[in-house]
Amino acid sequence: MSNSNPENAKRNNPFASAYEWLHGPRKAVHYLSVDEAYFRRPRAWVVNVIWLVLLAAVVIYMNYSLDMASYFGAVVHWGDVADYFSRLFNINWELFFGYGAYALKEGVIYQLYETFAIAFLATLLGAILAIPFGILASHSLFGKWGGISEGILIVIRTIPELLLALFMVTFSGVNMVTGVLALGLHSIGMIGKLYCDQIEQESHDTLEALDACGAKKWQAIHLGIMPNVAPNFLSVALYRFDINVRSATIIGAVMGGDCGIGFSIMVDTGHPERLGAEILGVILLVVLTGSVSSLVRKKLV
Amino acid sequence: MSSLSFAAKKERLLYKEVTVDLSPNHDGSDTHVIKKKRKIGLWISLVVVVALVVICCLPLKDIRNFFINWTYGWKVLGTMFVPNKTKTWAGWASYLWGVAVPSIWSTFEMCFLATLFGAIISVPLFYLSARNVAKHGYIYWPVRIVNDFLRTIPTLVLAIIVKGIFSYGALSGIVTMTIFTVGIMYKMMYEYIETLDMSPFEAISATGGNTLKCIHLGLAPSVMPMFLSNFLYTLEINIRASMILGYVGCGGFGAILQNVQEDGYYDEIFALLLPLFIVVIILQVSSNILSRRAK
Repeated sequence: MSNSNPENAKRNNPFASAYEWLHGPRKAVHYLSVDEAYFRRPRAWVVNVIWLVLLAAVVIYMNYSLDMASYFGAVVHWGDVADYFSRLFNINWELFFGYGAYALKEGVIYQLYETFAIAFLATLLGAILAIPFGILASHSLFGKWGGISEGILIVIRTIPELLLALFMVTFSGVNMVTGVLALGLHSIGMIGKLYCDQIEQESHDTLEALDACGAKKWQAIHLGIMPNVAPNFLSVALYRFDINVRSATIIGAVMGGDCGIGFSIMVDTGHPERLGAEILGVILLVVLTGSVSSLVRKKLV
Repeated sequence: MSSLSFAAKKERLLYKEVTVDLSPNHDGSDTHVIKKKRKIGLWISLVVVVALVVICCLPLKDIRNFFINWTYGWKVLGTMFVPNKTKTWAGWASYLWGVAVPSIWSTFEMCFLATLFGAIISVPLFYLSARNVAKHGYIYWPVRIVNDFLRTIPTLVLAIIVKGIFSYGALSGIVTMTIFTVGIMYKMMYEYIETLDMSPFEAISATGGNTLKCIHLGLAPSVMPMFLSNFLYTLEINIRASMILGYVGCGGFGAILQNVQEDGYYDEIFALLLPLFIVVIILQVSSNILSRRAK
């Protein structure tokens, strides 16, 4: 702690010294002795304790304001729960395949087919519509003008697909086309952003070479970018398809009727003997599409 | 054709013969016949995609009704921005402050608690499922398989199963979102950890630290910013997902939204959506800034 140290003037500021006491010196310092280095060590545990106390205060406040004590005080009737789950696992195969007491179109398999159709068509729509947005948003191609398309993509991503579905219902009624449009328009945001990332990961050499040959912008995109990123684009679309299958079940629940399995799951909440077959179907669909899409993605990239 | 053997037929299907002239003057004096592979994979995948599109378009029976309601739709969208149920702008503002903001705030609290619990639970899981930290396959594969199974269950199904145990209310919503959060967080974090530089980790283990010390001093400083960024990202996803929880009856603003939507009060829907958008945008921007700083 020599007085000739020019940083002493700064250390007279009480807040600065408090900050340095907690976090250590702001810049790299050449210590003159071991004692000084030890004296100016960061006190990380104090910072951690302060953050933990703040976090605990927030959690306790939120628990009070949500009145969680009433939930924990409530008695769980484990007998009822066991009964519910035993009825849930007693799967109704007639409902699952749609024969016997049920028509084919009431069956889970047909409704899963509708859900799959919504997800597939929506992904196709989104993946095709996102190509111009993704290319226009890349800063390596369009410089600062890419910000416009990037902003559009952020706005699209901000609107949840459920809300989009709710509003599309007033335009085109409760049917599958509405679900396809809502999900497809929503997936433009995410797919476009990932397309843009893929383009920006490409090396600039090809673009510069094409530029030196005097290629126009669309020629550079057509010859320099698209052949390289096409498999990546396909992989992004498959990744999104995986997510869209889950979203399609939820969209059916929100729109109500005629849109796949979601609505029947929501209606049958109190009927576990029907619910079991539906849940089994949804999990099977999600696992199958997810594993197929991840297999194809591994082959592509 | 029938005289050809099976192998020859397969050969003919997979390859086509192309005649190439290699002579300098292109006068046909130095011609070769080359076998060129046909792009069969491309054609098969094209056929599969077209077939899938046709199959998926079959149940779209309502496509003719699609253009009917559009004038009605624009009219309804217009009523969103005019006080209808709430009579005046003052009434709209009082609805915003009295009903919309508290419901969104309680939803935010639910989501925050659930994301916090889920993130804390996921910390040991993502270290255990990272290939460079847990060195042995018999440690990381079981963890990954269990978590992947939890991750595949869609939110709607998870909410209904959890509601079977904890009945209606915010608790089942929190439990659902906690499980959901663990699935997302662990996946994103272990993929990030596997890309990290392991030299600090190895240096500490060389000076005699155990695995916990190695993780705490060698990996945690570079994991922490990404963890915070992913925490905010997951919080944002949870806030969107909490809408569906309300529809099922697991707390949150979805129940109010459902009632209002069924009654057709679109001005109240606008009042409900305004705070939601503000929260989502704030979270998106801060998550972007944090992840940029982490890289």
